[in-house]
Amino acid sequence: MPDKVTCIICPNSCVIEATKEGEEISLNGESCNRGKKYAILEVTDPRRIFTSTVLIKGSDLKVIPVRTTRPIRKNEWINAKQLIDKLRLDAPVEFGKIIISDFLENGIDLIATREATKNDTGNIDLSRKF
Amino acid sequence: MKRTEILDNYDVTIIGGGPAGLSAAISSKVNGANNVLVIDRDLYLGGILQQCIHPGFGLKKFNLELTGPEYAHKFIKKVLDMDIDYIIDAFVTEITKNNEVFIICPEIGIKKITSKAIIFAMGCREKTRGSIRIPGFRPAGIFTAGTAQRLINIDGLGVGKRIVILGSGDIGLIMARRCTLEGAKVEAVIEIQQYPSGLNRNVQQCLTDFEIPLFLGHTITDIQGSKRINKVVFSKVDFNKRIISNTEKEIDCDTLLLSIGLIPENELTKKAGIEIDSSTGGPFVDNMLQTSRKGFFACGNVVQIFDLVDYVSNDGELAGKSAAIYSMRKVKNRYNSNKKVFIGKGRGIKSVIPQILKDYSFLDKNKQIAVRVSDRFEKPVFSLKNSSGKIICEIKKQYALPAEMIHLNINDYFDKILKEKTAFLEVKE
Amino acid sequence: MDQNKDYDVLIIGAGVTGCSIARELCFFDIKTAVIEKSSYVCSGQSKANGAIIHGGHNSKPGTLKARLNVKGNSLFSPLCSKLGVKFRKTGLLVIATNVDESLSLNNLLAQGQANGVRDLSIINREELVKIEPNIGGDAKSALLVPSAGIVDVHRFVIALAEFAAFNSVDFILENEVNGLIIENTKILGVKTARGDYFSKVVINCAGIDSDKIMNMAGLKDIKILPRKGEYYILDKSNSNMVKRPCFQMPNKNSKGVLVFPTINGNIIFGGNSKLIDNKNDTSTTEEGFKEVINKSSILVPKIKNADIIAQFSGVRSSTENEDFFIAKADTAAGLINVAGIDSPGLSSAPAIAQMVMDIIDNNFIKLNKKQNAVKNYKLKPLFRELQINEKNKLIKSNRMYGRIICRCEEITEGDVMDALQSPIPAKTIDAIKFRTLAGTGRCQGAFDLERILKLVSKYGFLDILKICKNEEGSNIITNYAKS
Repeated sequence: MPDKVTCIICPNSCVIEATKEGEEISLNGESCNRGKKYAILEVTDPRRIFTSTVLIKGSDLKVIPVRTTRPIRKNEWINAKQLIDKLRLDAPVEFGKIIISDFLENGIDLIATREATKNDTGNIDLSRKF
Repeated sequence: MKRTEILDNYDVTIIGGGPAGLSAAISSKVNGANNVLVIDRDLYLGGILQQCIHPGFGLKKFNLELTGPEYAHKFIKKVLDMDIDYIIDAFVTEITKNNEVFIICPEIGIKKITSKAIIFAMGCREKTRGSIRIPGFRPAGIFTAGTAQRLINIDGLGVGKRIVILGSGDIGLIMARRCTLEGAKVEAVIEIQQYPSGLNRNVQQCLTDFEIPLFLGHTITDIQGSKRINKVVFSKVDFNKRIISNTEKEIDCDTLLLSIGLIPENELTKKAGIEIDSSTGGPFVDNMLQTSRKGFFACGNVVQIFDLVDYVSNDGELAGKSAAIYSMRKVKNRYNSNKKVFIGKGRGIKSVIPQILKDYSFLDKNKQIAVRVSDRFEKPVFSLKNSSGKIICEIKKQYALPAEMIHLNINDYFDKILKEKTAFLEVKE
Repeated sequence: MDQNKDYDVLIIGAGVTGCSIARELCFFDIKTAVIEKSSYVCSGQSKANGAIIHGGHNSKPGTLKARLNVKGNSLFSPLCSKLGVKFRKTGLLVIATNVDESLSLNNLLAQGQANGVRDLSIINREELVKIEPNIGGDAKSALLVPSAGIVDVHRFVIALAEFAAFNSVDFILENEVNGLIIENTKILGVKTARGDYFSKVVINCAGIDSDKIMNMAGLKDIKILPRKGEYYILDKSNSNMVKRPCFQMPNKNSKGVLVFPTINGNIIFGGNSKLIDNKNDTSTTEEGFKEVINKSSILVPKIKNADIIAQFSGVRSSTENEDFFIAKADTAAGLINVAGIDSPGLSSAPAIAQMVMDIIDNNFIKLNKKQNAVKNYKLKPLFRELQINEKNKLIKSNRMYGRIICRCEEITEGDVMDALQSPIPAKTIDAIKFRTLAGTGRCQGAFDLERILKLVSKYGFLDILKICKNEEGSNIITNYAKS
């Protein structure tokens, strides 16, 4: 059963048919080497950069945006989501801080993509509970 | 710069602290302006980028795949390092004939400042339901995609559990993925055109990856639910966007996100008496991004809707340079000559920026015009013709899509173009 | 929960009629409550109409509509000043687009004069184009009604209600009357979902449900025929399109489609009249749009290309007998029915209220002027209406007036706070929209929704998940992230 992969390397957006035959992958429809590489990767080890938000306390920000430093396996997104949903951070959090190292995989970290300063006024938001 | 200490007079004042405004501020300072002020209505700088937590920014400018907040961080850091004044939680309510800018904010009240040059960088707003007149009830649960994005990514709130998205532009596609990742079920994305409005990579990574159905060539014909939306009815449309009868389908839902287009936000620009180009919704600008009013400049989405923030930053840089030179009067003769060319839109062209070319003495080496086409073209040929129809120059490209801004390099033809009073651009395959 | 459920007068319905009567009752020693099924006042017909104060040319002489419209019209301007509500005497035009209609204008003129409407005149095309340059080429002549005007109808009803609430009238919202308590042909009170309320007098101002209330007393005089009218709001860049309401020639079922300015600077076209089955059907339709745009663009051709920012529809409580039904009920002494109040119900409201006062005074309760002076109440002007030095003074006293939360309409946090802290707190998105105009601009709430949710949550002491667009069940936010 061939997989249909829409290549995203260049705007031509070639639709490449990739068929896995054991260890071999046969392609049909690619126009260049980069596309070939992308299609092979998409069928053997598809990955995406994962981004989300994490709840944070003690800051004017309610949630802080995070990302994986490198793409994680595409089918791990549910695990990623579940892990991230459980996190509760405390301000302050610096820009780029590693929230979780080796997130789902060695060598890939989960980092903060925005700074969250400490809330000086000590305002407690009564409307939401942790 | 602390809010209560802003000066009464500035060399360059920038309205809007998003990507366009931040770039413009930095560029103004770099190009010699002494006192530069950025005004933003939010509680932070960075504008819309702060809620765009997904990657895809900075590919062209930095060769990096950054998220919105990371991209903003680069510029905010520079603004802080360069000690550029900024005021947040503030609105500009009026700009007078005498370049007085009225700012309102909680700490100061209403403050009037004067500025030698003013840059509009207010960005855009989203098209609402009323603009496409979707029939039906007017229940809770209908949001524009950007509003929903802010509620989720900035406020940590959920807008719904069963979501239908109207419009397959990039914001709609991004929100399809985002909502799924926040635990909602995105039932469908509905698009009136026969092809997706957004980038192919987003269709792949936001819809296909999550098995979210995309209905091309469809539109919503009824919204049901008197308190909270509970159903949308949608039908097929033909190439002319006319509804084909007996093709109704229904989807149960509790939320509808509208991603149906962006409009440059020019209330302030209009109030300042500046001429607006009805084809873009933004001001007429020349090749140094000056508007019809001397000393007033504009950049970013407020001029026309951009597809890549990298280009917005470039736009801001140009406007900042232009404003700084104007305000500091550092260049003795700003123009080489009085020559001025109006660029009109011919066949296949939706918009051209700038609409006016002038013979500035301090132009960049890479003179470009930014074009949006009204249709898809394979191997298009762009021709710039004079008023008699004679071709001034021709530029070939690989392809042209309505969703993507196309830059035509007119460096080599600039002097030739300047000889005309009017020219018009057209495209064909 | 309401402690004391004993009143002198109970009013069913917090629309313009009910609230007008409630305000009148404040001047007397009367314990009053208004019971309303919706979550806020002004939620039925009063919410969705043209906001036009008619001169009185449209009704048959001798009818209540004719008499009360003319009387109400004369009371409107001073009343609005007292309440702090914007009203402008713009006059209105009825446009004739062919010879037959031109002749009919004479009948309208005569009818208006018979009703006592002042200064009516028929103007020819030349004069018409001078005062309305954008009028269509088909317009031949027009009836000019100088005494007509436009009003901020939502703030008007809200001001009436808050005046009353400020003077100790109880407003029992989100509570539908589902029965009347009648004993020996005498009314004793009403039954609601939250229990029984007792009073000597019950005034039925229930709008499209007014026949339902009458049926509860065994009265079948009125059958409401719901008529839906759709309206389309244009972007403010069109605000000069017309300077006064311009009507199509009226017909049997309606005053005709119209193009009109609102007091806040928008242009609206619409006002068709379709008989519908379900009186709760406030949907807008493609057919309705086609009808109103075709008719309106004959009046003002520029409509065809104008930007629409919003649409709404209202259901009118029309009846077969085409007149107001205002009478005490014989089968239930103490019940006064104010039913079938469709157009010109808004224009007539002050006069309807006075008429009902007379009925109460003559039949049920001697109305004694209050011992203590009535507490004056006026709506605070919106921040944007103030002069710059007043604005600065206000911001100094309360910083919240310095934070704009609705960019399109320049509405501040202070304005929203006023709504939250008013005698009838506005806690839904729509209530705040109608009281402060936040969300009525071209972005239609895309910018201010988030700010308003936070303000209502923090200062209205409501969990953000509980904040509704209008009625219960119209919650905006469904959950907190990660929960």
